[in-house]
Amino acid sequence: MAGDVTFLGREFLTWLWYASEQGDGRVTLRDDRQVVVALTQRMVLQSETGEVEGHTVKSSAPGLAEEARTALRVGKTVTAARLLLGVGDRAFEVGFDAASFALSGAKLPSVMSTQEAARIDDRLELLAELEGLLDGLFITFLSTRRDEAAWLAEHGKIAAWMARTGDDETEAPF
Amino acid sequence: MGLVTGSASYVRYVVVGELPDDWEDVYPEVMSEHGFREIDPNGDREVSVGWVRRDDAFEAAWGPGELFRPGGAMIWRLRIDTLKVPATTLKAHVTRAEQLQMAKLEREKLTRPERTQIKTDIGRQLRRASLPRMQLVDIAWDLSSGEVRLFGTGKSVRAYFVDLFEKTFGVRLLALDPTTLLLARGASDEEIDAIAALEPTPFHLAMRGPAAADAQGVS
Repeated sequence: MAGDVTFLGREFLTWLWYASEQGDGRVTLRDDRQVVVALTQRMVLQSETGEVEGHTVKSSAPGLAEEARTALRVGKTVTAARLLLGVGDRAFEVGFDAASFALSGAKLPSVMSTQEAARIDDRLELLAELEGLLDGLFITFLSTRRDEAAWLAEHGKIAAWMARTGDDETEAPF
Repeated sequence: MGLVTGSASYVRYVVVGELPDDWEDVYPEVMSEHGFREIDPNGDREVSVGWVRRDDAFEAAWGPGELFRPGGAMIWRLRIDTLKVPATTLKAHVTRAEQLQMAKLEREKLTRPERTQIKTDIGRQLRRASLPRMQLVDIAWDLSSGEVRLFGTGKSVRAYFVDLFEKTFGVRLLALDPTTLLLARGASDEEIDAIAALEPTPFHLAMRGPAAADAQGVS
């Protein structure tokens, strides 16, 4: 059934970064839920071949760091990022690895249960909600990505966004 | 760990294969068959891997209500014990024992078989005096969605887990990736094939203009 599509995880995170900087970072999922996306604390960029050393950006808003945008311009894509996802009055924070789809350091909304068994049930529900958001974002990305015309248009917008500097929105010298 | 408190770090898997109709009866039995067994300190085995209850790292039997949650999830733990004497520790003790033996025999050298025997004896003594290093990793299998969460992301933990899971339950376990995610979400073969045919996007070339992107075959 398939070729190697591990690059899609990287493209997904790169697209999320771009989407997080459009307007208020709101992404509409296919089920019409709206998720506010932001990148926080840490982002890792690496070349597709992995030959060039990875570049880690640590900041409260790593997506706004000019060094991150510069790494993107020289051909690196995002291999790991820490995401803030807001939906309704709930907020989740989680690290996402593009290669393994592993989730790290997921911070969930508080649960009220004090008994361990009930806490497990509540937290499993919250994890399922977080996964639903991530999967929803990924499927939203894929629905554009696999549509040639839609991706061409999106790709053009991403290229224009990449060319702007992080702080003053002026044209980059390319 | 993250299943009960604190932040959670985990890897997701998708189960591929048919579950038995009587899984509620069968699974506790097959899990006990693959339950954790203590390492014999007098033996040579360095690693032991098996299932244990989530609430008791020394128990590999599940009674009614001890494995399944009301929401349809199975909760238990993978236990990995490692009993290995660190090389530096072994070398220091062997050197000391060799010196004592040479003094006792009033010789300046030991033969190779004598040195081998000392190393074997000291290794066994140290093994018997050591406690295994224990790793406990939470697992949650949502039987309705067919997704499994492993609350440990290390490479060796993942390898031990997948191997034991497939042996125990007689199904395949696929790590979540773009293709398996679509599979789990009910995508058609056509949709999955369309994704598999995609090529990477060189974002940076498109930024330099359509000509650069075209030269690289950007769609």
